[in-house]
Amino acid sequence: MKVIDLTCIVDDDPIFVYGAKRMMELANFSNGFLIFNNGQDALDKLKALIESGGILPDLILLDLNMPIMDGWQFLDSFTEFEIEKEIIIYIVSSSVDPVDHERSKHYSVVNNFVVKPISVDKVTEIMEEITSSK
Amino acid sequence: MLEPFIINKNKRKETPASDIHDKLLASLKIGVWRFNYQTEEIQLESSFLNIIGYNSDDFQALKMEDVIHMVHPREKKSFDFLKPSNHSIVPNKCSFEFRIRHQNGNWIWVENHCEIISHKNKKEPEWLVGFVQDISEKKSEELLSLKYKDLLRKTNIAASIGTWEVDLTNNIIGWSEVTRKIHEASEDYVPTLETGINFYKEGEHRTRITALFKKCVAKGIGFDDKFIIVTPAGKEKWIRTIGIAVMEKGVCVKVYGVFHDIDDRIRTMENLAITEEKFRKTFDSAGIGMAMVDMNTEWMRVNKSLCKMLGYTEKELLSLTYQDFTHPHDLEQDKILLAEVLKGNLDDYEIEKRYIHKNGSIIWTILTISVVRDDKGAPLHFLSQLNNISDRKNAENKVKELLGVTKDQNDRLLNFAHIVSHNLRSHSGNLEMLLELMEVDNPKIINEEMFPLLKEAVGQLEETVQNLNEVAALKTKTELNLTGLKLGEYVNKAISNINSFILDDSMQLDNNVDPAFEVMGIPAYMDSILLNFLTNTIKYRSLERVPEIEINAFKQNEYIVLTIKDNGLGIDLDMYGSKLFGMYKTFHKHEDARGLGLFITRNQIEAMGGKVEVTSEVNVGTTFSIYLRNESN
Repeated sequence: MKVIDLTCIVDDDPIFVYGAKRMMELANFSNGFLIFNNGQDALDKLKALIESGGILPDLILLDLNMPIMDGWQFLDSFTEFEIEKEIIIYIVSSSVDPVDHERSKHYSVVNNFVVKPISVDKVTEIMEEITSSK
Repeated sequence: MLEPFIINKNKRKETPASDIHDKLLASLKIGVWRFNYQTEEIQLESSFLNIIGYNSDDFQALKMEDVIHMVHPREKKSFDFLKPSNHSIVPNKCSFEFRIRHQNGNWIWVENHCEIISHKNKKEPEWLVGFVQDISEKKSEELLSLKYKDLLRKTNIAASIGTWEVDLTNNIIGWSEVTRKIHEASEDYVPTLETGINFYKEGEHRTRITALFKKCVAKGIGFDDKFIIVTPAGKEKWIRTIGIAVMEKGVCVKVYGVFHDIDDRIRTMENLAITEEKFRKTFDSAGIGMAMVDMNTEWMRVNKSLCKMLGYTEKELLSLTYQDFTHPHDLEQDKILLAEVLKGNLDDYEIEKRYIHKNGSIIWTILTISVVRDDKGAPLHFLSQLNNISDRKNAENKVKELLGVTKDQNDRLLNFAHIVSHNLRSHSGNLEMLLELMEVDNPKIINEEMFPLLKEAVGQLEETVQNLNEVAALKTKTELNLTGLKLGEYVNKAISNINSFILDDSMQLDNNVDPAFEVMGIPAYMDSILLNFLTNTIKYRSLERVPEIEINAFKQNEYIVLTIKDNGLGIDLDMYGSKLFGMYKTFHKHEDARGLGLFITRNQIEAMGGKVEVTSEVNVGTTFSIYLRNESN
């Protein structure tokens, strides 16, 4: 059985999105995916889903550097939402800047920080982490 | 024998004769009084009473005491001869002066002459008659004269003015006390004309005084001149001698004059002249611009350097005011400070001030203004000193400009590094990810000739980007907060990280770091530095011998020096020394040699305020000395 039902990937890099999706599929990670190219798109759609009572993702993989609305701005707005469902958020970024890592710790909704590139091993690791915390 | 006039007050009846007598006495200001030794009766004529401001109607004196109590206490004794107990020594005549209280309260001086005019039984004195005359006027003149004489004497001593005279008739020379003192001659010294002249300094001075004196005697022409005399002790002194001839029937009989000690004055003036000369020379030839400015800020005098500095001739400069070539932006501060000086709140000030050269260029100066005051503290003028610092200022501006450019370039470089490292990371990350997927999707691809090469290339790209990131992440120590770190703990941690190597190779490691040592540093940097050096010792170990690593630490000035010594391959410092800590330099044909390690390590050490040195011998070993700032400093 799959750990995650619906995974949301917020990233402007189509290659990463493709790769991440493929690896998760290979690892039997998630049943479905929601893909957004920037924070604004993700926020709008998620908001609509909350309002319409649709199915919300179990996990959000969030990139930081994106056009229109970056990951931080997304987090600032997203934390304002009142959601009953517990959504796990992972920041997945190529940033190795300690400032970003430190900053991410100020958001209680952020579960972890994964440095790109993503690999099959890393996907497995994330899976195990989520399973053990559940 | 003269019969005494007896005036009975009770039955006064003026006879014409006594009337005339009174008037006569009054005009002579003579008062008459009588005293009877036998009866001690006192008789005061109205002429006497007039002198002391009374008349016979309002003054009654029956006893001598009534009169004596009006006499000045100093002169009361003069009347002792009237006392009966002294009859035996009564003189027939006596004269003295005494003061008596006038009716108006003032003391008046009177001269008294008295004489016994009758004797009882022709033996004992009976009647004494006295005449007193008001001499106050004469007395006050006399006193004044005494006072002036004394004053003159004192003044002469104070002013060192002596007098002298030469009596040519009797050939006698007289020196006053002060004159003798100026000559520093003893009190009993008696000069002659020759010895007097010989006091004058031999040569010009003696010749001149001799000539002047001769001329004075011969033609009666006086003199007034300055000379040097030599005292018996050999001391030279400036004096002024004035000589005046006294002529009788066309012949000079006497020369007298004044002798004045002017040594201090002359020497002060000489010193002043020297000082002034020195100042003038300094002022004129000073390398810095100087000006004397009066209290109305008008030029009094300017020097050559100032003219040259501002490009004007002296004449042009003096016709302008300082405002004419002060940079408009600097006028205000100068005015404010000047006002403070004029108020007396400031005595001098120093400012950086710009002037405008005649050619329009800006001259940067350090201007020092000081107030010159007279001996009473009243301001006389300003002394301005201008130091041209244009060259320095221009250099400073150039440096600032360069610094700006450098900072700009540095910022851009940092920006570039961040962008490149970030974007390259994404791309290399993607490549790596895609390769992995390719491998999963198509396991046979591994057998393709190019696939491993592609994988290696992507791996190397990834590593390069990683290094680039580390370089970009390096910050200078000014941006970092250094904390105290226990050196021993960090060394132990680094050793534990390479423990597997130690076990595998049966490597010998000798750690002698004093656990008490604390250094200033950044934990992450410290870990990275120590790990880098330790892994280097393993990477570059000699395969011919058992690796030995020795770690020591000692204090040196403000540093704690950590030395890591190995017996490895060594580095040819002659060949690579200057490149050792550069970017992408490897010195060993070793598969793991990255080259960036030492570059980053050195930068991390420097960021923590330290430095690193190396000694090495090929095939013997290498010692790295890492200087870290001692925490206790």
